[in-house]
Amino acid sequence: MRIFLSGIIISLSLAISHSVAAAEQVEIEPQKLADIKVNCVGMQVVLQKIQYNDAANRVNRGQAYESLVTRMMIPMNGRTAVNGLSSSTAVLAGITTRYQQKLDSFKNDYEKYDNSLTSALRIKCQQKPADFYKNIVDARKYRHNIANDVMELEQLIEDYYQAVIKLKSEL
Amino acid sequence: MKKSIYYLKKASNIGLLLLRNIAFKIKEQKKVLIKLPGSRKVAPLIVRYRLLFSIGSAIVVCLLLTVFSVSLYVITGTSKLDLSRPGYEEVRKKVTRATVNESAFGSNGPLNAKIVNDYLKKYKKQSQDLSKYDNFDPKLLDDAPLGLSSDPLPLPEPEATSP
Repeated sequence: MRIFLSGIIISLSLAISHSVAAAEQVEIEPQKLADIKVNCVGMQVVLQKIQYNDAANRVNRGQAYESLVTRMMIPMNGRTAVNGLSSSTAVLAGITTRYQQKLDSFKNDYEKYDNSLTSALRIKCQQKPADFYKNIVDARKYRHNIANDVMELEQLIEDYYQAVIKLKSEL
Repeated sequence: MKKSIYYLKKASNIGLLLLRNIAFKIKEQKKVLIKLPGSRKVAPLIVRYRLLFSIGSAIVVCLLLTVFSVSLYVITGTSKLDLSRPGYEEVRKKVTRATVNESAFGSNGPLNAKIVNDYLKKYKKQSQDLSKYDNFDPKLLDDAPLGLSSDPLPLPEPEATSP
């Protein structure tokens, strides 16, 4: 019991120190800090709307990505393997693996992004404008990562399409 | 923290009581002899308030299971995708329902030019569906769209993501 409780306390303190360390990385000018203090309530409203829209977007994109891999890519890989097209199977399976890895990155990055947004929304921004803004900077960074994930996923989808066209020419 | 320790202690005490109750019953039936510390003092109380004890035990078990399931719900990130949360009523309307029976491709069967053509059509259609959705434009979180200033900050370098 004591070990369990001390484990919880240690992990909590590590998490807090990590977030504090991350928050200390950004320097904000005093004028900007004052602007944030004045405008932050309005900013939180905008952030809330962004969070709601992103939630629907995440669900829609997630469903579409999952559907593409489970209903199109994996069955095609299986069929090429059954028909003895080993070289094409290797190429298609390679793209599928990279696609699944990138899909995992997309999910992880979204979770981090949503956590940062949630922190920015929960914070009493007029009392802690610096912390509020640091959460926005974090969210901005994670959103940028998500945008990269989306681009790379689109590229992999296109790569797979081209690989199937190549497979067709070999039949 | 103190409160949670207190409740954990309470829960473990009640669990111990439950065990003692079981041990007492078994002993009563003279099938197996199990002796737990302090069972002589506690067991008569349990027998006397059997109904209350049963209800209490059921509530505690329910609470423990609820805490466990909610923890899983949050830790696994499912909560981020749950649009049935309060405040997400409008968002739910924007979610496209997945079409389960449409555009499925079988993993068995022959593979010829016609089949691949059909496959490519379905694949193209599904991949084009993705363009309907927003691509998480990073500029949306710049200072200007948030109503802070007209000078957007330069975007930070993307964090290296593990494959």
